[in-house]
Amino acid sequence: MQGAYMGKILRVNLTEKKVSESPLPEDYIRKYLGGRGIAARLLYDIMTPGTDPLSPDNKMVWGTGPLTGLPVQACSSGWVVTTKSPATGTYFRSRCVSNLGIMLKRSGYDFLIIEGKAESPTYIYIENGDVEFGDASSLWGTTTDLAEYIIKNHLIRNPRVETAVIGPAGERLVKYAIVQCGTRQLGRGGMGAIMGAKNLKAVAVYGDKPIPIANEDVLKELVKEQINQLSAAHGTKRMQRYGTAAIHTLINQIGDYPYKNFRSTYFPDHEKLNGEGRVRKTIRNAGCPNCIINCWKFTYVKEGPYAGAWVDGPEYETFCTFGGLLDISNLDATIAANQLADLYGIDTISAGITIGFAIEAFERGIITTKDTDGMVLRWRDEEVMMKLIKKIAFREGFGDLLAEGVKVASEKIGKGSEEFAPHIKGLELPAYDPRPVKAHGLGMVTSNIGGSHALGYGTQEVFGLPTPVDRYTLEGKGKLTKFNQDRLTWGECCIWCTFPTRSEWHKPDLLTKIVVAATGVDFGGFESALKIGERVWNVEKAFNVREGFDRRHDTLPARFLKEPIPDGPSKGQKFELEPLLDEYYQARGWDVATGLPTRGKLEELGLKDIADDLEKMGRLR
Amino acid sequence: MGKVSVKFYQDIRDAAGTSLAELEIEGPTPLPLFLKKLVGRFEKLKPLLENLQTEKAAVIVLVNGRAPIPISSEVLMGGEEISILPMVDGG
Ligand code: SF4
Repeated sequence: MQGAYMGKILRVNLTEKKVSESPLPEDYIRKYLGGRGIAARLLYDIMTPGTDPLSPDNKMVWGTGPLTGLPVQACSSGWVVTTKSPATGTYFRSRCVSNLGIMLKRSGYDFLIIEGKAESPTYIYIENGDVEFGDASSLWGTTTDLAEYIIKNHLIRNPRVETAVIGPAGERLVKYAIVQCGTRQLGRGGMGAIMGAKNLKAVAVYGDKPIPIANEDVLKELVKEQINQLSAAHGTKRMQRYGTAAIHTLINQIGDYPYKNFRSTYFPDHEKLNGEGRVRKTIRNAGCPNCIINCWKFTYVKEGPYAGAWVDGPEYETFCTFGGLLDISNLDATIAANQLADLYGIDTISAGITIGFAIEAFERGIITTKDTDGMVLRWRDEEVMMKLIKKIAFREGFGDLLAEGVKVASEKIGKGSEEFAPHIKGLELPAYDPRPVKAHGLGMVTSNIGGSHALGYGTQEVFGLPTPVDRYTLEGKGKLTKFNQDRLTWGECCIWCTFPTRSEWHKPDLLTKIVVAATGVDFGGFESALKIGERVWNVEKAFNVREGFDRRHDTLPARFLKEPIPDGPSKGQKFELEPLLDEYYQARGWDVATGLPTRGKLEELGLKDIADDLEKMGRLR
Repeated sequence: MGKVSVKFYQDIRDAAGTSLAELEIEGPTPLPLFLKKLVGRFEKLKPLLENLQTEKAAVIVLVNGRAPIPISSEVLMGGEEISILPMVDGG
């Protein structure tokens, strides 16, 4: 018996208010497994190259994995969206952990394709296979929490509905607008702007259909072993206590922390803003269903100027981007800024990085109070951070420029500011400096979505897991990066949570057995899993190649290539781009000179049709 | 003769009962030997410093911000700063 899939794709056209269903292709399950894999392939199939990401022609593929909604550890609330990003012009995948994925599946669908543009503000409600288009005119302009509340309690009148809503930033097409899903987000890459451009305020889903499991008894036994493995891992205990902020001190101590817009990689005040501090502010530990790690931390500010602020977080990235990156060491301010960003619907990484860039440009005299609506921009200024978050979300004055992200903002400002605008392919860098972590950095440079750490995290260099690798050496880093990317890609096809999976707190061989028990499909062991990851990576890459991307775009701003880190534990490090790229393309089996895929590699992966597409465009080697 | 400073973080700090220690070394000292000396002074660190750089490791040991691989390759000369942090993931 086949289990874990519902076997159907739902397609919603907002322009025509039309809904259709199609079966989930059997061969896509075997080749791409599910989640990110099938969502990437579907997107490749239905998108026309050159589509404007903010036009009605852009599509969003919302995808669950075979493990979404199952009684398995560290995966069950995972889901993804693939689309073309307005921030980068590339393929994009955003990943979320909220119960919306479970509801989508229990409503009868593995995937949901959204296309077109509604005539007026709209929300979509999916309930057990029925789809309604609702009027969201009265919600337009509201913050994410209010929109969610009204949809659940007044419009649909079912508080068990799961929602994904945009805030004022998404409506105003801020290039890094997010979609708020309960207390979690579809972050990075402007997912909220795409919904805003479609006049889509929200997606709401409810379902109570059972999800089939191929071999329930075997699955139960394997999950017992999974719990044993996770319980034994030291990292599990640390994440239970500190959440993702557990790594804040480590990243600083290895000199990889983007202090003051990456001018340095060591935050001197880190003792004031660390995981311990967050423990003191935590009023509730929580997590995804079926996960003993419980890494979510609800923090609350009880007194002082930010009293009353609360957030599910801040996660490590936000600790840094609304903290040390801006030389701010007041956790209360970080919590309040995080809450504002969630309410308005902007990405905390991109917003913080963009603000940091603006402060440096101001400090250098490249921009002045004439450009900033009279504001003096400086480090350690919580008020500047809070004001700019609002200005960006509402595109007010100077905020309108920053709402475009650092790439566009630096191109418009000019005067050499492009050299210190931290992004890759238009996506703001995350809270890691690529210079002192060669594989981790190479993972970001070659990521199919631009400057993200999430697609090929160099755990071996940063955490020493599953086996330690020296972070400065160049040799072998191309191969290691390919491995990390393929492993994480496979994980997101099944929908494994990234944290315990990449550090191997639960072992890959066990995870492959769980997928087989759940689905009844013999996907093979870990070697086959890596092959699936590689295949999906190549589909995503082909999407980007079709859009004109190649080796020239796998790069970093001048700061990271030319300026050695001036101080701290990683003093002297630069990012050695060319040799690292050479080795990476070789490991990938692509053309080293251009970074383009080869027919041999694509055919080896069963992607002959894609090789033919690229050849017709003159984009194959 | 030289001094080596050791910084403890998060729950390692709880185990050591302090955030900072300074130990004298009598000349070039291999890191594993130094860590033994450290355990002599902070007994509760013993279980935490076992299985270093394996999948069972409970902590990460950095010397001047870098993890020496393998641990035995590092010889302390004096003046180094050692950081001992919990093994984590996240971000
Ligand atoms: S580790 Fe955290 S994000 Fe991952 S599944 Fe568990 S609770 Fe969810």
